[in-house]
Amino acid sequence: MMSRTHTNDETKTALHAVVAEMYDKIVKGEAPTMTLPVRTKTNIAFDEKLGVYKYGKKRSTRDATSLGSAKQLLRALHVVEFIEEMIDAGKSSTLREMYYISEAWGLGKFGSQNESNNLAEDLEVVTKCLREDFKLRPEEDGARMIGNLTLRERNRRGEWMRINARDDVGDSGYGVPYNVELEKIELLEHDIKFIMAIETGGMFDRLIENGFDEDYNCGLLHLKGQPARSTRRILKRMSEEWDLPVVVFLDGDPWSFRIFASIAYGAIKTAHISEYLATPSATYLGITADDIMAYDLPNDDLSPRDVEALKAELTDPRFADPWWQEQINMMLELGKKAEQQSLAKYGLDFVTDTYLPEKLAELGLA
Amino acid sequence: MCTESTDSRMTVFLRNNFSGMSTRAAKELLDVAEISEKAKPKSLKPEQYRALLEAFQGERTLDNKPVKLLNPPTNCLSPIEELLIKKGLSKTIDSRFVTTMTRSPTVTQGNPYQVEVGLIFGEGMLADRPVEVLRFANRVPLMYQQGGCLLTKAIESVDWRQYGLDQAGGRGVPKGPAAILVHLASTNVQFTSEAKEALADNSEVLEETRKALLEMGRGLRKHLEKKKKMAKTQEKFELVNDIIPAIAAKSAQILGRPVPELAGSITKIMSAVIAEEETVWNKETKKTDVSITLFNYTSRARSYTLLASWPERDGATMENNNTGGRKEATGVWAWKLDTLEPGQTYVIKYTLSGLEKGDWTDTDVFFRGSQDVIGATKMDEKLLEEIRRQEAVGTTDEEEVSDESDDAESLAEPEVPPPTGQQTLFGGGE
Repeated sequence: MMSRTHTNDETKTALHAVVAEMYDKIVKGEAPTMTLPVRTKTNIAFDEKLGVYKYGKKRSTRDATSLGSAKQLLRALHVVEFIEEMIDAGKSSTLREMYYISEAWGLGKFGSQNESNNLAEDLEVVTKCLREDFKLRPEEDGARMIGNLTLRERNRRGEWMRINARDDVGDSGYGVPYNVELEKIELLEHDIKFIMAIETGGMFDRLIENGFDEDYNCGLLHLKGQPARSTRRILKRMSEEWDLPVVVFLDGDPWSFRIFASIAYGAIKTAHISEYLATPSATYLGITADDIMAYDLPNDDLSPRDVEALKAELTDPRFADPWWQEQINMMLELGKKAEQQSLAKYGLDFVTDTYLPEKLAELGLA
Repeated sequence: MCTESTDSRMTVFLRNNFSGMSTRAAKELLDVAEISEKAKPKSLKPEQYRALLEAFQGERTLDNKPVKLLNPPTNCLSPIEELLIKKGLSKTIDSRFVTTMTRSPTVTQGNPYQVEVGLIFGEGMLADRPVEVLRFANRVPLMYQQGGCLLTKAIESVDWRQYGLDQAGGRGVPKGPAAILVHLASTNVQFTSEAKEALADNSEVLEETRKALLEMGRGLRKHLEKKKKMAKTQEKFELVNDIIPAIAAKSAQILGRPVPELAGSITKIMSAVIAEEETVWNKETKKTDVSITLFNYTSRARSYTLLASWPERDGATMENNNTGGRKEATGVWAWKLDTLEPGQTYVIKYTLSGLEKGDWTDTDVFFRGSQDVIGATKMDEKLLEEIRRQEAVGTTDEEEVSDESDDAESLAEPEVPPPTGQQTLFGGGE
């Protein structure tokens, strides 16, 4: 098991290197700069060794020759200082708290929370540290999980709690905390055959109500749309540490394709830590473009934005394999998309009695 | 008019009762209308009245051409004039930029008229609302039926987008933080109804108003372009004066090293010579203070001659100009500056007196020198020559003008009353 966190000293050293780049440029009589990888789909490449997509070699330089980027550099310095203070004081803060704290930074204050989030990500990318190293927490809450699996979580009083995600939880399942690293969560044992990640809460609850997890011996994970880092991370850990297959059950639209890509291959925004977050063995279960036809599902026409997204995916290196190219082109041809819950057309039990068993059988899981 | 006339002959009647009627025109009119020159006005028959009217309106022609008549005098019109428009606009709406345009008087359907427009732009007005339209006819504000008015239609016919105002599809009343004033002065203002709420359509007047608005729009565009340039300069200043020093201080603090010298970085980032101009009204002295600052943010020494426009023609005088210089042309002052070393700045300050608040809010700065100056325009020597040439011609021009007016007087009939105030062309007399 790879350790993904850095020690406080390593983090500080990495941050100082960023500051030193600016300082040295000024000493040399040049404009201060910050060099970071280009974070678009044109600069992600498959890493053979890790089996995920990582940033390529393209670098962009942010230099202080315009007011906007100079302010960015100044903000980065304030953030570095703030992180150091937190490390020294043994505190942590949410990204939102940092945004409000920046009110006191004068010229270096953030214009919006988006800016502060992006800057935290920039620093992660440049220093190769994680925001956990920076003592920064996301606002987003993790997913919900249900199934016969047992783990240990260290609670806020520092005590380890043993939790079975079927017997010790209510119908809403086990809530995944934002930090799912070893110091917080240990995976103990399980009696399941595979894990199914589900996009919408409605479908997650439908499967629980129908007792799907027990009938098919599986763990269910609610992704809540585009999954948070901790959700992707725990999926990856379960898949690796327990050697379990992962199937992903999403809506049948271009955005679901992207959710799958970020689960299986790594998200473009977090490509610097893909090896910690992506689960390369994950399989896309549905809804596929041919499901819309095969099951004659109620559907909607693709909007111009959908079509644009699909076309962008055709040139996305993560969708380069023939199966995805075929799916994307098929959806473009159909001009249709369908939601998971459109399966209810054939009754509430259709999804658990017919659709999923048929799809799982194709994969040899049921 | 004819029946009440005591004149013995038609030629005399015409010349006495109509404005700008020469003997030639009277003879030609009668000829075309097939009326004897010696006919007594009182004894004209109804068909003859009609024939005469047709001759006036060009429906009866002489050698296939309508009888040429002199344009009516236009000095009977009463425009608001630039100064009052500017003052009025600035008073109702407190803002920085005001521009006006007064067209020369002209004639439509025998009626002299004149179009004036004014525009105010800037803070204090809502940017996402249609501009306020202030309509006037003979100095009287028109309050109602804005949509059906010729003056509004003229505003709507202009594509304001090219002048810096928002306008959906290039049609309709534009949007922006502005107010537009349109004034039509005429001896015969044609309203749509007796209520005198809106002006009736007239393609000539519309075109004339449109032209005035277009010309005024160019002034607005120039102002906005300048403002944009200034904002850019302002940004650069903030960059080198505030942000870069902050970056230097913070990075030094984090690394625990001394704060580095900034001059090199600043020169590198700016690598430009920058002129900053400020023209402000001094409430206490009731004068306009102008300051021009030149910064050399390049790695080489530079030498320039700076030139500035000032309202010499409007009777202003330049005071407290401690940096000397000389008059380059009317309204253009020049300073030959000493060599500016890298990082050095030079400040020119002077005061303009004899002006009112809002008369002079923008000083144009020009330069002569090899390297471009941000915030100033390279002096167009041809333009300067043109100004000088106009100056030289200026005196003779005035003579010519007086010559012309002499001619006009000698042409005019002595009976024509000297035009005074507002007078309708056809209303005077019987």
